Amino acid sequence: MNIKLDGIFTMLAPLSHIGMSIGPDSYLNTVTIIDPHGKPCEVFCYTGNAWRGQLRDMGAKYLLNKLGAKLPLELFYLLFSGGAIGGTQSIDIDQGRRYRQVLPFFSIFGGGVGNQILPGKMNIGPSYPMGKEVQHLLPEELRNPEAKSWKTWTTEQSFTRKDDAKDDNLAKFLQTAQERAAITGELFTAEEKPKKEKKDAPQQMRYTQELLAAGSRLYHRITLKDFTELELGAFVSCLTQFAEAPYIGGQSRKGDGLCSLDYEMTIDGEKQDFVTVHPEKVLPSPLAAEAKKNYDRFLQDMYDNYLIENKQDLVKLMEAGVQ
Amino acid sequence: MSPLKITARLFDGRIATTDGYLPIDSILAAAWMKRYHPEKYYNADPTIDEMITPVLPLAKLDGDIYAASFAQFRKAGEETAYWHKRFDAQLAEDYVNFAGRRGRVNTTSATYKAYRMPLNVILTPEVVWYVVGEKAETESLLEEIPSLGKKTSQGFGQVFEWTVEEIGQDWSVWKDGQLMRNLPDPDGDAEWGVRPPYWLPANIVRCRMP
Repeated sequence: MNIKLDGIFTMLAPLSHIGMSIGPDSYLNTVTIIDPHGKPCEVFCYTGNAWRGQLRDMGAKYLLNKLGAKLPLELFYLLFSGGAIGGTQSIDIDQGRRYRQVLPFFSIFGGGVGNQILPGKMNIGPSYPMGKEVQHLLPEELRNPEAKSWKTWTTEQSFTRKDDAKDDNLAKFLQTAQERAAITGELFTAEEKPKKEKKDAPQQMRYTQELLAAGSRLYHRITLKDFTELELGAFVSCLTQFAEAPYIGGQSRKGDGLCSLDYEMTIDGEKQDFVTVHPEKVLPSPLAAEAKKNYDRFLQDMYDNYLIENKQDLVKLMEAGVQ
Repeated sequence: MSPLKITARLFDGRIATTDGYLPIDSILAAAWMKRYHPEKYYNADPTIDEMITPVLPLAKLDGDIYAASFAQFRKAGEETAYWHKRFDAQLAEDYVNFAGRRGRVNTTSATYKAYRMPLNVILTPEVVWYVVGEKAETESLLEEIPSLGKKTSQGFGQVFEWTVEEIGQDWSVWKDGQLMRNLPDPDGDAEWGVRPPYWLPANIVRCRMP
């Protein structure tokens, strides 16, 4: 059975997700989609691959933090990046299947092992700003006939990178050629000048980024295929880990990409609240009832307990990953 | 069984495919495997001795070929999308056990190389197929299929809604003099699969292509 999730990112800071760059200037990633009139139109897209990659990292971190384990390189690459196909590999398809059996997290994302792909169980869709171009893609209750184009939600920010080596006030902290020679043992007399310094690449620059403005909302769909309860718990664990630093896109070092996230779930045609992520916490959505809160906790606890009860076996299995 | 028209109304209209054939018998075979043999579906096992033949709600033509067309759509555009993959050195510092050896990872070539993969994307609002089959069972199997084409894990080819309707004429193989699917033909212009799984060498013969 397939479960559908409707997800909305609400940007609490501008979002950077670069598509094209020209010199020091970078522009938002856009794709062409079919508009409400059946015609192609350009729209910003935070790709499904980007969000999927982030969720995968979050889920793997959650798992390994719980287990307190470190992995052989090849298994690390399988869990965090989805592995690779072909080439010489010490993880074979049988091991891959065993990982799938014992690690619900690996089962939902899948990965490449040996010369095969173990398919994941999630289709994670692209996120589009909820402007007029995508109104027909939204669930009915989210549609807004007055919506403006997403192009009115973009902004540009310019930044300056300064070359502090050229700042006279800071130059006293810069090693001189003589000081460097004293350390490296290179000798020269007062008449002999040290070798001419290589001209450094210019460090100073001004660059501009196109961003999606804070306050923008982006919609995406996820399909969870044939999920078991444990696998649903593993998915919730990805969101729990994400809540510790809920940034999407690039430039998070500058605070860009901070967001909150709401998921609504549809099973057998019935809609219900699923998970709401705010910075540093995962909460039931405002509409969620007490029963739903218990349900979320149950999923999370179930996954935690599963990991704790099976800790020895899991650590042993993973440490034996590369023979 | 009766002539049917199957329509997939797409989410954003983006399907990752190069040839655009997307045979519906193959899609239904995947749905059947997912429903009735999920263990096999999710744990790929290409051992031919253990191949399972799906029981599809479709009529068959001579030569064990299903009366099922390739995808028919109005192409509104086509572009190249890119997806990226990279080794995350920062996470590796925290979570890789180098077993006391010097941790070096070659990210410039081989297994851990970062890459930017091109993907051909076709734009279309909906995709149509014609088959001869059982309406109810076809509708039921299609519920298993949320997306079409390649890289569905990244959200390409998402289907908004499937509809199956009975039509008066059988257009599963020919429509208005136009071939709707490939047919075996010793003088054909390509070697291609004629039944699911289309990639299986035993199913590939010389064909006339639409």
